[in-house]
Amino acid sequence: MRMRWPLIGRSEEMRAIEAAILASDVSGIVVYGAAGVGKSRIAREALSAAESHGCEGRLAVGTSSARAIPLGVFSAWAQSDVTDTVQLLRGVIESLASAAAGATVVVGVDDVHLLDDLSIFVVHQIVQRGAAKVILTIRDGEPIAAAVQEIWKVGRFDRLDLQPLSLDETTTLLSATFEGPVDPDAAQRLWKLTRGNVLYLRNIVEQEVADGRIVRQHGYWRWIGDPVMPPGLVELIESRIGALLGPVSDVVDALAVGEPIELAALRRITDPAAVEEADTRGLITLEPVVGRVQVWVAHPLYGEVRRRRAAPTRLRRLRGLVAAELAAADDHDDIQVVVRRATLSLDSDLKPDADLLVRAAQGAVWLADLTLADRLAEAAVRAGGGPEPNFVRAHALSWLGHGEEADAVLAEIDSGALTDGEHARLAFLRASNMLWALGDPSRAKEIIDEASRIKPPQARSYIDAFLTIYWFAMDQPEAATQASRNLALDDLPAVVGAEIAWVLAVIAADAGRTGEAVAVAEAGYTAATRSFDAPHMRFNIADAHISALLLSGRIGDAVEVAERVRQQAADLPGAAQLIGSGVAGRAALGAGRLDTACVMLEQGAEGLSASHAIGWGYRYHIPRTTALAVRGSTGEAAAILAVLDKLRRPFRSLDYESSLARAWVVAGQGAVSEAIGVLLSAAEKASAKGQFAAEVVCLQTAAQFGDRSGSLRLRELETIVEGPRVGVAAQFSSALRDGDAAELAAVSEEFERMGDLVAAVDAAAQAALAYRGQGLRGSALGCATRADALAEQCGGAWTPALRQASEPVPLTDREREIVMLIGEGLSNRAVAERLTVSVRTIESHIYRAMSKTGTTSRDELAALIPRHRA
Amino acid sequence: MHAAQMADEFSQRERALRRLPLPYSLALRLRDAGISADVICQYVNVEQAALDGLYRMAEAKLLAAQNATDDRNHGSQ
Repeated sequence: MRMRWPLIGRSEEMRAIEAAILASDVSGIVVYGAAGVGKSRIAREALSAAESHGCEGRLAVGTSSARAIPLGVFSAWAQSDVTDTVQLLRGVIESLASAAAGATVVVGVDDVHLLDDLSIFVVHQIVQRGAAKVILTIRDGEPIAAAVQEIWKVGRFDRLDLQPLSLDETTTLLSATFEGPVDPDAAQRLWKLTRGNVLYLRNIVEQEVADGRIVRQHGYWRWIGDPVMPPGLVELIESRIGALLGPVSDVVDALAVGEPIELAALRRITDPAAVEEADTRGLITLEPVVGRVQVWVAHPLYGEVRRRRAAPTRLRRLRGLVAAELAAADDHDDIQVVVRRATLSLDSDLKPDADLLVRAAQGAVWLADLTLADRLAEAAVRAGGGPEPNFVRAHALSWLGHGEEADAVLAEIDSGALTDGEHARLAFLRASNMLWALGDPSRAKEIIDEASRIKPPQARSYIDAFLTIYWFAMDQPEAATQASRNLALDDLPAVVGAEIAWVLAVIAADAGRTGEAVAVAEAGYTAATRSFDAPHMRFNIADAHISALLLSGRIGDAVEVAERVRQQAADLPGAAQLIGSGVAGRAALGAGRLDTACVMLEQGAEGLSASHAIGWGYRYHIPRTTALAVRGSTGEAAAILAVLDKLRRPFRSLDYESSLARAWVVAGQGAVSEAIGVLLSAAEKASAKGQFAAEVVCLQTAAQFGDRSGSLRLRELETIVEGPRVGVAAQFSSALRDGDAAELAAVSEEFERMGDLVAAVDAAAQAALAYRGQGLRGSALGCATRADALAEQCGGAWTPALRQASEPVPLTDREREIVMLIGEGLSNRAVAERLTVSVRTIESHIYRAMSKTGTTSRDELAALIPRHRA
Repeated sequence: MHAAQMADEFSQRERALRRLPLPYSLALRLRDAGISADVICQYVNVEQAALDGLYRMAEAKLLAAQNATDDRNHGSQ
């Protein structure tokens, strides 16, 4: 497959070259850089750019084959019938430098270190005479002939050292090449492998695409499976590494299997002289870290190539050597070292150590490398590690979304040999997996009920903990709270404690007990860290933490927590990173940063849908739908909702969040009264379940849509729900009911201070409408302008209230609703069905709307309402 | 409020720094820390003659990254 690779991340470099060409006192520029970093590309692009500005460009490319021929690279400019060398050279220089009157000539010489002597002389003369501007490229680390160095002594040259692309630039380049978003995990893996070397990147990506390992899934380009090194790239890298003989190959290969290795250790397991030679040859990199020096292979791909080329038995021996060396070091019990030691031992000549493998598997879970945890735990099972590795493995598989495998691993455990505590733990893990990964709550309940009949009291906490989780998952927060009343968070087995903290934090958050939710979340973080549980659990807890802060109106705090999570998640593999995006996206949505929210939630939801469609995928699609609908992308939002409706999610219906999403979609389509109905019914349901903070948000959103019925209830809720939101929402609803425009304008400022920008937009828009109703056009305009400015700040909010404030048409709410729906393409009958009124009623509304506005057709009427601007 | 804004500016520079290729961010950080030029050259693996050019490029890229961060955050602060 031929792919187009645009020039990305090089604007500053291009400007530096352009400046050198334009400057009157500079001969040109020398571009240095490692092989494959993109020197030739930038030299060519700079020549084209110069040509497009009226210069004349000439390009010569140094190669080792042309080097053998005098004037080889300039043969195109040499006259064929000249035998005298001096005349020949003059001819070449003149034809290179000749140009139309007034035009500057720019000569680009790629790989100038590969030029033959006569060609060097030509460049030298051009520079000395100032006959043309010169762009030269040189590969880093190549010996540079004295004659070449003379070139920049006779003129004045700028210097540009080209660096590999950063992760960010690599991601941008990949998205541009694929013309679509790239899974961040894939971008990160590619960057780690190529270190931003564009040549390597192109080679690998094109091969992986051709072999179907980079594919488009759920709108994202993903990299599935391990890379297969393209043969061309292997040769390229082998030629760069050069011949590796005896002891030096030991150094490189030991690093290829076990980097980084401390310098002292490397000198012990290989020949110290060979280490020095490898360093001199640029095959390895020495990196000083506190108190010691760590050694890496100079480029990750060198390691890849060596691992593929060296004999497996030799690599097994080297892994064993490195693992033994790590085991002898002071930090051999450090969790990261344990994981490395065990991983190396997997494919080594060492005897498997079950205890080490189990500890390493737990460590890998903690580091979010669940696939590795699975491998290590499986090896520990084989090495006879007892039931523990099965527990760890099942836990890892369950987090990976491989519920059936997890269940099978738990079923393998010989329950006859278990203690009572282990029995209860087994039941807890099986039931949890059954519930969350396999989506079978009733089977999960059966498992725990069976366990509860036979278990002695000391195992009771596992049972009660699961029942708490179960009732929470079944949307019965009161039953969950009831089941949890004998649980003491600090006394629970660690993994269980973290999950319970998540559940209780969500329940407290929804209920409006913000302080309690935050405290429980903090305790949960500690439990999750203590238990070496996967970061996924900490992020789940953070999701609840953010819910608490958003619902209560502490939006700045929520954004802060989210940023912390996003940073923690950024470097983690797989789902963990995506959950970080989802959590951060929710906070951005709560703060009304709709552009950021849409990007992050799309990333999280689409990415997680690949492995956890009914779980996290569904969870983050809901707020994503809301974000899209608030921005006015109603069609896209409705399409996502339709897909979600088809999924069977057997736990945690996320009722109020789903209702918010649905209401925004419906309101965006124009059916504002229907949207209000959805919200009021969601508020009632939330209220019945004691989810009072959720009730507040539903009532507030209904008020944003113009509902005037919520003020009394919101006043009541002020005494129950913590945080600033409920007070402002009550004030908003009362002002709306009273048609108090000045108060609505004040409320808008309150919402802005609180950080809920979308509500601030709507309150300002409602203020504008109220002023307009009172005939105060100036004040109305002021508020409408403020609403517009805030909407802009949100990254383009387009809400029903804003729509109404920005249209100059004197329609009633009902008429507006009908006109909007006509604009959506609905027939009178369809509108009547949607609004559950008769067709005759619809017709009479249309008739009145037409006579008020002087329009004569349905189309003209529909055109009066401004549509989505984005 | 002022302190919060300052923190925001810091983190904005920091965010921009993190988006640069490593040699650039490293060179700027080391220079800010008052490390001598020859040591910086060793760390970022360039000749001393190239160091000024490297700083110039690093500053240009930092500015571009900061502007890009501004654009991303425009209206969302």
